[in-house]
Amino acid sequence: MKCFYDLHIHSALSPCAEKDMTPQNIVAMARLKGLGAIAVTDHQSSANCAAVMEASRDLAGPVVIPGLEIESSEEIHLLCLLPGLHEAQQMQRVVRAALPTRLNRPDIFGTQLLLDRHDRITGEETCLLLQACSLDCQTLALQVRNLGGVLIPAHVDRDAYSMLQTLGAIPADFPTAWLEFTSPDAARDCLGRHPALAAYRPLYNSDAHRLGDIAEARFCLDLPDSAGFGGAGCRHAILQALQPC
Amino acid sequence: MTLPELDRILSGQFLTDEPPVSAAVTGAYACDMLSHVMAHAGPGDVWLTILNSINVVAVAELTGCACVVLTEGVAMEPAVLERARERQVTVLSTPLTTFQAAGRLAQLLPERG
Repeated sequence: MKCFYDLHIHSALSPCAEKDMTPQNIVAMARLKGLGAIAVTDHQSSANCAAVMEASRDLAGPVVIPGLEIESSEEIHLLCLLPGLHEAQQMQRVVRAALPTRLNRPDIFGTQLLLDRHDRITGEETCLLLQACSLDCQTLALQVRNLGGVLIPAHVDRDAYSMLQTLGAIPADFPTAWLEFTSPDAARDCLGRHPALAAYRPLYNSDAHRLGDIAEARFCLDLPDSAGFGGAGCRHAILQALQPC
Repeated sequence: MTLPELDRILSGQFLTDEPPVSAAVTGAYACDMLSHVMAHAGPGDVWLTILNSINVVAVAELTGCACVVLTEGVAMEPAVLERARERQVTVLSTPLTTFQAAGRLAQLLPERG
């Protein structure tokens, strides 16, 4: 069974995302695009995941995988996907405990909105999410694995916050079978410069901060037919597919 | 030292508007880790870095540093530069390495504890 995906989407909780990245809008746009699965991955927080999962149930939208985009102490962005809300909340607690207590400056970074399933604003995150936590990539990978999740180096083809750019390579002992790229063109280009990357499988996500940037139904994961098209079974199958070999 | 002297001192050029004559430079900080810059750079500092993402502008504004100096001839995307102009963050580009640029500034600025 083919599952069209976009596993890297920011909600309005990310200060750099647009305000209309609300649960219902994200779900409605993903459905319109024909996606089978999406992941909500705000910077250093999973606080809006529950609302998006609920909105998707309300609107018969795609499968929603809860996650975070973690910024490690090396200032590398890592796509963290977890099997359920409970695990996502646990991972958020780990990251939060390792985050400096610096407050957000909405005038500089943007607001960090907490939303419910009906797109109502329920609060604002006051701690700045656009900063690194004090845990390194390997420590984070271990924590995520213990929760049954996956940690995938994000947008490795880019200059900013990319493991490839920051460390100069993907360390052989970093436990991932997958790397996230911006597009197949970017991946080809990257592979030309770093032939060792051929050992990894490419994941293409939008990293959408605006509704219009959510991916078209273009990239898909091959899941076992037993995964079904909704809910926990599909989430489980996707996380299984993305596990390090 | 004033900001408008900086292009001459660092053999560089301003990518944003020429800064006001009165803008003072009181210190410098060299680092490519945004978390360290957020924690340690301050108003009046020249920040030497090879980073050029949109968040560089935000961190420069947050810390109030006098100028972002992109070393090693690093360029800035037009959209990021536009953001810098909007937020009145001064950006200068120099072909010098961070070490060379810091060396020149060290002769002109007091060392900070």
